[in-house]
Parts: sequence; structure tokens; C-alpha cells
Amino acid sequence: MSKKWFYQALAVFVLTVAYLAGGSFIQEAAAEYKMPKSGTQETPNNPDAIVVRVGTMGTYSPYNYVDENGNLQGWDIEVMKEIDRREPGVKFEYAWGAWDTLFPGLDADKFDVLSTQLGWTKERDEMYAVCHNPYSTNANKLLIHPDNKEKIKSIDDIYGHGYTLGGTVGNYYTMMMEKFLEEHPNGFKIQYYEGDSNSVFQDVAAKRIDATLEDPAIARSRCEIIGIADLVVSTGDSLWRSGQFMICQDTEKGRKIAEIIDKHIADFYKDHFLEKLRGEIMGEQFVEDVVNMAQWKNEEERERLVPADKR
Amino acid sequence: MRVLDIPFMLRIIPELLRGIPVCLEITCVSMICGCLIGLATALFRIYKIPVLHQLSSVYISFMRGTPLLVQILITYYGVPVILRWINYKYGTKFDISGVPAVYFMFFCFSLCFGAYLSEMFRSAILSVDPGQMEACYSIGMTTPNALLRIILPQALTNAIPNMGNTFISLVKDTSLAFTAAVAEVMGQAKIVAGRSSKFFEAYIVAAVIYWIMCIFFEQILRRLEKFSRRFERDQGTSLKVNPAAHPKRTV
Repeated sequence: MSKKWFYQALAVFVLTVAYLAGGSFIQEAAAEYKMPKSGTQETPNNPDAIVVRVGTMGTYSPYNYVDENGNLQGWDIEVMKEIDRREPGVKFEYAWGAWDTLFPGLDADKFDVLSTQLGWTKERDEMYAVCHNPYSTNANKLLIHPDNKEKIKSIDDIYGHGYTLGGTVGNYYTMMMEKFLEEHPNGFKIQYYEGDSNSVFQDVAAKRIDATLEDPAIARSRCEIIGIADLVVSTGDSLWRSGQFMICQDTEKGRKIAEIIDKHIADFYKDHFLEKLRGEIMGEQFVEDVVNMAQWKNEEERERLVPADKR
Repeated sequence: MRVLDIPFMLRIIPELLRGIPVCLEITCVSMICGCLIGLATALFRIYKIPVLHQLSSVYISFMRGTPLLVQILITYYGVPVILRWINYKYGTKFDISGVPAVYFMFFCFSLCFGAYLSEMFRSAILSVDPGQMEACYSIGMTTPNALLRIILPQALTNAIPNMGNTFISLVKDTSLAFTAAVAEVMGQAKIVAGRSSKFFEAYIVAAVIYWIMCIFFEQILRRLEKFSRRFERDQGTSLKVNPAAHPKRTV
């Protein structure tokens, strides 16, 4: 009888200890696991400053990504940090979340500004305060296996040779490929992939498809992580360019923040800060994306600055 | 608030139907190859042939224990990486870039469903009365002869409902093939949905297409089962036993 009680008591004791120890361990592990999905990061600044909450994706290497220590890094963040340094009146806080939560977050006043490689569209201009000065342009080039370097030198070489181009479903670049295909029927085949561009890059490296269309900075970053950076190279010039802007809420505070950002980015144009930063963070071959930025101001601005007969 | 865009759903039907040939290709090839693999491994395990019996057990455990999606990803994206490494280490020039993605799907699905079919065949063969095998031996038949002519035909009759189930579930598991860039029905639906952002409509049309295909297969399987039971007295439609064949119970 006493032996049975002893074992029961021992079992209860062991389970309690395991629950207390294991429970907190599991909670910590779960918290760490949750971290990459969304989080915040503060920068030290003037305690009286206006707090500006910056929203970004955090999964878009090399423009914005979370490193092993849980800190946000990347081009979008570094530009914001420099504005923070130059403007004593504001204090930037950084948060990241899934793409689907960014614009709703702006609407719901969870973010004050989004800095995550956003292009200008009429809908965004009507609903939000889009900054006038772009801080980056998006390049997009053909990416091929080095063995095809002689065969494919520019977009004109793509048509008529029975090549297969790859793209992920729903991607803007894939839609542009479909548009090219409409202009040149049967010029090439499109092979569709699900999910991330990683599978497309892997198939370019394996020579299963001949080329893909993508931002070369993103391609290089992803390929370096996978380990196929020398098997996927860009070729030719950028097919089209557009400016990337920061977007603020369409409120008084939002418009004020947009003005501050615009002022500092105009300063960046003058002292060539963006070109220096680009070379440091992303490499010399991507500096061409940020020269002569003034010409990529958003559509409305361009209509205002450039007379109709000079466009 | 947007309600279902019915004209859009009707418009995309031809584009989704383009995926049916690929879907059927993968299903039929995988089923046939899977049956061959399954039958062989089932016999290895029943007769406990020395090395093959253990290999079969490991194969079945792995294929049934890992998700099909993971198997597809490993086969399609992992094989070129391994070949690149082998080429690098041994200076060989293996190149499978010309092999269409569909062949990888045949390979993957055959192996996966071969494992499930193996267990089905094993249970079907074991369900045949052992007296049948003894009777075969008693008239001097060899084991292969007995299996082929007496045991397997009876076993297959028992296996058909199960195999039919597997076949229909295989038709729908081909929807995973798009992860390897093989555009069957579900893949076409995702392409259309990605282009137009009308996910709900595209997936509903895909579901209806799968359902119609499965109804068609169900009819064929019903007739196949009836055909395989053509010599049986009660045609396998009920558990009723023939009262005249059994003595009356008094308790």
C-alpha cells in the first residue's frame, strides 16, 4: 500500500517538474519561432521625438529581411535609418509582417509608413499619401544559366527559338512575360511554378528552363543562400524601370511624415548617398538602379514637371 | 462584396480541361507501375525472401511515412543537386535537364502508391483460404503456378474495392504535381487564379472537374467488381449466407 502511494506521489512530482520546466521551455521556443513572423525593433533617439512606425515585409531579401538575431536588415531599412539619423524630430520603430497585413495595417493605424519596395499605382495614390521621391528603382533582367550567355544576350533573342521561360503564378514578372507572349505569339513557352521564386532559380541552374525574368538583386540574394549563385546570371539591360516609393497614411500626420521623407530623399540625390549605400549593402553592380533617380518620380509628378511635348 | 463570378467560371473551363490529359497520364502510369511494385513487394514479405523482405519493409515504411509533397520536392529539386555534386566530385557529366518533369512524377507517384498497394495486395492474398494453396500442392502445382492461376485471381477480387479507392484518391493526389511545375487540373486552376486573383471561382471549377472524373471512374470500377465476382454465388453485395448450405442452429 505505501509502495503504491510512493510511486504515485513520485509520478505526480515528476510530471509537475516536467510541466513547469518543459512548459516554459516550449513557450520560449514557440516565442522564438513566432519572432520571424512579426516583431519590432527600436532605434535609440531623442525622447521627445514623434514615433514613426515603419512597416515592412521582412522576407524580401536583400531589400528587407530578418537576420539570425531577429534584427531587420536590408536596403529599405538602411535608407530609413539614415533619414532617422538626419532628422532629430522623429524616432523610427520598425515592424515586419506578412504582405497581406501591410496595407490593412496602414489603414488600421498599426503602421505610419510602409518601406518595402512599393511601386506607384493610381489606386495607392488615391487611398494613401505616396511620397513623391523614389528611393529605389526596380530592375528586371533576364536570368539565364552561364552556358546560354552567347545565345541569349537580350530580350530580342528570346523569341522564336523554342525557349522555355519560367515564372511563379501570380507574379508581376510572370504577367509581363504573358504580355510579351501576346505580342509575339508562340515566341516562347512559359512554364509556371507554384510558390516561391526559389524553385524557378533552381530550374534555371539545372537547365530545365532557359530563362526567367526577375529582379537581379533578389535573384542573387536567393541564389547565394541556396548555393547556386554562379549558375544563375543576369543578361542584357533592364527591360523596364519604375520608382519604388514609401507610402504613408492619408492623414495629417501621414502627410507630414511623407514630406519629411521626401525632403531627405531629395538631399540623398544631391549628395549621392543612395549610390554609396547601394554599393556597400548590395554590391557595385546594383548601383545603376539608383542613379538619376529624379526621373523616376511618380506619374503625377512627372506630368507636372515635364511638359507634354518633352516627355 | 463580391459574389461568385459565374461567367468567369464558365470561361475558364476550357483552360482547366487542358490539365486532364496530364492528370490521367500520371494516374494510369503510376497505378500500373505501382501495382507491379506492390505485387512484388507483397510477395517478398509474404514469403519472407531473405534480403528483399527487409528492403521491402523499409521501402514501405518510408513511402507511407513521409508526405507525398515532400517526396515530390525531394525527387524533382533534389536529384539535380545530387547529380551536380556527383559531377563535381567525379568529373562525370550526368545531365537530366532534358528529362520532362512528368517522368519524375511517374517515378514518384509509382513508388509512393506502390507502397500502399503492397499492403493491400498482402492483405488480399492472405485473405484467400490457405486450403486453396494446400489443394494446389496436393495436385502437384508449383508455388508460382498456384499463385498465378488460383490464388491471385481470388485475391484480386478481394482487392478491387480497395484498389478502386486508391485509384480515385490517386486521381486527386496528382493535384500536388504542380509543385514540380507539371500543370495538371489543379495547376491550371492556380495559374488562372494567380492571373486574375479569382481563387474561389477557379478552385470550385477544378473541384467539379475532379468530381466528374471520379464519378466516371467509380462507374467503371463498379462494373469491374461485378465482372470479377461473376462466378460467385451472392455477387458480394450482402453478407447474407445461403441458409440451405448451413445446418440450423438450435441455440
